[in-house]
Amino acid sequence: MTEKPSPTKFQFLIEAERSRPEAPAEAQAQARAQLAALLGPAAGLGGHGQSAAPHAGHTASSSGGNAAPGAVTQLARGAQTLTAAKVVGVFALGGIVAGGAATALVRPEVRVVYVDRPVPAVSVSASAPTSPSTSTSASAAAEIPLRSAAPLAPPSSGSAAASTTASAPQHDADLAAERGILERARSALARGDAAGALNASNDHARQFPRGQLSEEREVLAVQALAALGRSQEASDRAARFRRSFPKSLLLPVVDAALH
Amino acid sequence: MSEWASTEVAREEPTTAPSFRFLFETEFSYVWNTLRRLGVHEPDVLDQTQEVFVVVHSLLPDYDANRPVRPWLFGIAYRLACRYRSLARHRREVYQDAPVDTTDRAPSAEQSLESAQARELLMDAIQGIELSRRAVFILSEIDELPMAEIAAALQIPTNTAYSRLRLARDDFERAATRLLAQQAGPIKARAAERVSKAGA
Repeated sequence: MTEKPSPTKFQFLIEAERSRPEAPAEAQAQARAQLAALLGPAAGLGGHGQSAAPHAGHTASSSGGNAAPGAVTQLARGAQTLTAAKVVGVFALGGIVAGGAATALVRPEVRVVYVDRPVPAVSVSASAPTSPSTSTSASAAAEIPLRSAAPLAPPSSGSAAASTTASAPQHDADLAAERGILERARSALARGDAAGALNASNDHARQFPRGQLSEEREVLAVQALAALGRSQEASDRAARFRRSFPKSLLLPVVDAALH
Repeated sequence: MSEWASTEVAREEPTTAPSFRFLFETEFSYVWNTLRRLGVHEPDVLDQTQEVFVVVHSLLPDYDANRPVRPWLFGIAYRLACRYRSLARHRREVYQDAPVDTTDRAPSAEQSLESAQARELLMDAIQGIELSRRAVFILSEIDELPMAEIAAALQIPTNTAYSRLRLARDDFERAATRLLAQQAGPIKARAAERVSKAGA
């Protein structure tokens, strides 16, 4: 079982894929700008254009690396002194449970979803194709990938694909609205305004009691309550969260908030 | 393999962690392409790539600079792709790339057209491979990492990695065979030629 199988006869396809072109430069520029804004100066992305210094032991895949090594080392220090825990706490929702790099790696293994989880059927009015994405708005309006709809959606298969596409515009609009509210909560939390974060999460709870992002809302609420020192409420809410989302990837974030 | 050949040499020196900026500038395309291979749809790739780098930024202090960076990045991208795909509306398995225009091309463009078609076809073919297998497939076949590194990156036993690779290969070959049969343009003729050469 421990031998590598001989090369596939479709090796030429694989070779073509290896030489896949680089990501579009404008996409990288856009990401650079957004990340610089999001992560602050410690990330070292602000205002320096495209350059990067070569680094021993790391082969640049791109051909575009050329700049001052000294500056980079300095920036590395800066990036590292940034309070990682805080960043993780706040952005875990936006991406992933970063606290457990090791454990989280294993979890998707188990949780990889083979079952189709269609969105709850939403009726689509024919007049409302307010499809939100254009290439420029894509990053601004793009939703955070979250699977919070899952616990609310009845598991079924078969017509999943069809229903997903049919309800997509409405679904997207709702998701964008939900995301907007939670974004407020998240940024409030990030700047230490826990009360504002709690308000935003309450807004979300009112408007989308069974929203697609309710899992994330609850996490933010727990974090906000904990930050406000309302620890009893925080732990009650966390307990409810555990019951509602026993398999949540965000459980470590909730736990971290309580400590 | 050549990209990783330097790893052993690098380990002999005291290694400092790469800066976030360095990773962003040099590995952006790797993350981007990895996410696409893992099934993130075109319009979402930018957003997801950013997400990866947000996580990279927060995990960087824990990164062991003696380890190769790409498996580490892959691990993060993989977890995000798992989450991305678990959202119902991203479940469609169809890979959506810009269609390759097979008409009105000068013969000189044929080579790149063929590569583009080949990439598109590969991308279609691997979308049918179940994700945990596909991860091994990508790391092994496309990124050309050794199995021990792959197993470590995905935190699975090496034997599991081997068996996933085997299964992924089977899935891939079936899909590629089927998709090639539907192809038109320069790739089809070349493919027939190359497949028979490889099989000999």
